[in-house]
Amino acid sequence: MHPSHPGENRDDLIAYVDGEADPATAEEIRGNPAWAAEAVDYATLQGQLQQRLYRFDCPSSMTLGDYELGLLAPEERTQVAAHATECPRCMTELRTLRVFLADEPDAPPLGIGARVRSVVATLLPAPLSPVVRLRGNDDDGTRTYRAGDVTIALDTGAALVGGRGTIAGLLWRDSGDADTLAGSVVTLRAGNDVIQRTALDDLGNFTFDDLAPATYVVELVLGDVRIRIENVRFGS
Amino acid sequence: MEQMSLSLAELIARCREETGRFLRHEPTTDGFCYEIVRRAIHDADQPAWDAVFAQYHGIVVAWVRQHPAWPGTNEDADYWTNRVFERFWAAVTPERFAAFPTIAAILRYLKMCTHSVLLDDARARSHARLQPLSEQIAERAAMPDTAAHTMSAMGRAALWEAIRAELQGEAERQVAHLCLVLDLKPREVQATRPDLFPTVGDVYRVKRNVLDRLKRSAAIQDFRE
Repeated sequence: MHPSHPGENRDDLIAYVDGEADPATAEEIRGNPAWAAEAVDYATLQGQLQQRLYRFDCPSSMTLGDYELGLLAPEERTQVAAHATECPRCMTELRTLRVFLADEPDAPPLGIGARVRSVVATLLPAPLSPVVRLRGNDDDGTRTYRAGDVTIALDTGAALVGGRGTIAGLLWRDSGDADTLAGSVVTLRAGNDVIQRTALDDLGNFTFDDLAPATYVVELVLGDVRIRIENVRFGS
Repeated sequence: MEQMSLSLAELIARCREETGRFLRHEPTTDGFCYEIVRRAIHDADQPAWDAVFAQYHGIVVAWVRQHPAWPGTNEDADYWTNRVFERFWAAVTPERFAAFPTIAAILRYLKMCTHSVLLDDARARSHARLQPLSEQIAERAAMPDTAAHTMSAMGRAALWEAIRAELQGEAERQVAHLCLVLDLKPREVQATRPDLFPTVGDVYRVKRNVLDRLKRSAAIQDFRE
């Protein structure tokens, strides 16, 4: 960090506050009263907010346990699944619980950086895709994707009403046990923004309603795997 | 059912035999142990509950010592074992008992309660590291006040909504949640969401924007005072 005056490259102050600045930058900041004071301001604000907010919206440990054991009502299960998808702390705790319940005392809990594996689904060519037509026509906008042992059919061809429409999806596994994935969260994104969230039903179905024409990303979290279906064109 | 007609003493003896076979992964029925648990929970039979505690105390102690959070605790295994049974007793009410049709399901839930008790201690220790010592002492000295605790939970939700109202875009909301609510460091945020933040520099930049907005916010200042 060699700015000529405070304010340049203030991102380094954030790295310093969180203990991630290199030693030379850290020494430079400590040696400059204005930068050091600004770092203290950032640290104070962050500390005050963290103390008040720490995991305030995380489910209790018993709720996570009931979720893992399948003891929650469907609506609460969906809520917990949606939270766990976005919360690395809860995801880590769930993985620790799974290992603990599996009676593997020597298996260590996994850290933040190793909690969900991302996979981009592959679009299957039409002649090779399974004969799945979600609305029964030969070319009804159904596209089929594959990720590992999971196949996902997306119907993006429904007619728009008032300029808006529905994307419907169906997931199945080679093992035929899609019902075990009931409640798994499915997220519809446009760019980095979350448009809608829903959950798989016990047959592997999901829908997103009232959508504007756009190019979307569909994301599913199944256990410790995040499957992304990119470039889902809708309504064009 | 035969078990329901047996005395508690007879059930205890047969249950010990069943448990030995279960732990050796040998074929077993679970009717005798299950009947003891049923009487303890469904019938609120205190001697049966004492028998449940005596029968499974050793197993729970072993689970406590196996749990990854155990080395970081400040209490002995017997302390945590007592907390585990308290939590199990509170959670498995007579109304819920039907959800546990076998002794395996009961033991699985007891093991989950072991995890829950130790996890709560780990969460509390992590939170305590964020609090100045003076505040920790003040909290421990305060009398229990349900109304204050409830308002505090509402206050946290209100604070978070006030923060969200100041932010722009998914990246800022994610950084705010991951850093301020989950106490992740920027490198952990980047590892968690590489799709949003290709480099850790992207996290520093967005986080600086977040903190600058919150510093300027009158609504957030009210919460800080």
